[in-house]
Amino acid sequence: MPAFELTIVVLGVAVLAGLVGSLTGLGGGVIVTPALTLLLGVDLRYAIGASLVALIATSSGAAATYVRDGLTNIRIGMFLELATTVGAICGAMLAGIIPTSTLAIVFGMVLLYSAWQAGSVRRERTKVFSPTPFAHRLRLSGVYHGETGDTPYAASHPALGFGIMYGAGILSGLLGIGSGAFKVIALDRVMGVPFKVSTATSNFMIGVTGVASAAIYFGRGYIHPALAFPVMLGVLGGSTLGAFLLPRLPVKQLRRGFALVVGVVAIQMIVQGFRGHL
Amino acid sequence: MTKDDHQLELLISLTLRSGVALAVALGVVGGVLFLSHHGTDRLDFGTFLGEEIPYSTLGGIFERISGPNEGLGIAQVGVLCLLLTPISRVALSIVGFLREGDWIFTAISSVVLAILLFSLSMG
Repeated sequence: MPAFELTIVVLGVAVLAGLVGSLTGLGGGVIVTPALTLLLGVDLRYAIGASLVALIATSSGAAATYVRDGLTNIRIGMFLELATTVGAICGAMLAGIIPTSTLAIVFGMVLLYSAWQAGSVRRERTKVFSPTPFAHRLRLSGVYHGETGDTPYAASHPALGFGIMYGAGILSGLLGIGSGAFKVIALDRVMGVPFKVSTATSNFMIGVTGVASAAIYFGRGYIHPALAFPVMLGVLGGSTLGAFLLPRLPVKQLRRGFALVVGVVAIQMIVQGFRGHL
Repeated sequence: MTKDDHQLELLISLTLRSGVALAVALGVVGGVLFLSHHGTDRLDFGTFLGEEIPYSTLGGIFERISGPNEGLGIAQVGVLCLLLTPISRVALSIVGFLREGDWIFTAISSVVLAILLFSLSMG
């Protein structure tokens, strides 16, 4: 396809991916890769490279706002980045030796799980966690300024959280995704950090985790500028539009519907992977 | 939260925002330049060329930029700026924790920075 037409099409697909990613809370990157490979026949490796670039852009942009508003816990984020960055490098190495059809299958399964997570109703946590001496020593704590007043919190189970973050880092590096769903699980359910702080802190970590693998992919030629620039601009535009629409739309119903669509895409990805088409 | 912590937060926020803005600006300029000269060229992302594309090394990018009508090189510099954004954020945190006298976190941030630089050196 001529460069001009292809760029316009890629831009459009990226805007849609950014929009869906932001409305479902899955993030812009997870959907752009299947969209590029399944709809436009882009090689999985180029799609992963471009999606990593888009991911770093959107997460850095969102993190800037969360950090300014004091929602992010920089200490907890920085501590867990030790695990996610090492994981991301391992993941990027693994990606170099795993066949792309296998990668597509793993991608589809992770996407399917994330869609299920996004579509299911979140249960409020009732159990109160007690911080371990280790977490206390590292001052892995903070105050959440919620609508009902200030709630102090402290992270518990730092070792288990650290382990899950290493796994999230591997997936992130392997597939070029933010694996925000897994990061939020580690922070919110395992470490007992308030949900909004978990989301903001996970977002904060995604940029650094993404760079750890993107730097390796860059040298391998996965990041093609002709694809990366429209994908980055499109996803940024789409997620900005999503953030604008989010408070104005019936999110709960929409989230279910979008999660279903993403689930179908995930299954498509798995099927294509098994057929060896990706 | 201490006053120092909040100042650090504002500085980190500003760094992230400017990095993304710079990357977007270079992406737009480079992209428009590329399309205005090469809009009718055939593009194919269906076959992976790997390191054959000249945009995977610093030398390759700068060689491209110094040539005429090279928009993609500029767009790729934008990508590099984007990659440097979270790295600068980590470097800034080191300074912040150091000023707070928090040695444990100065060490943790330094290790994260070292991991990122290691990854850059492999790429």
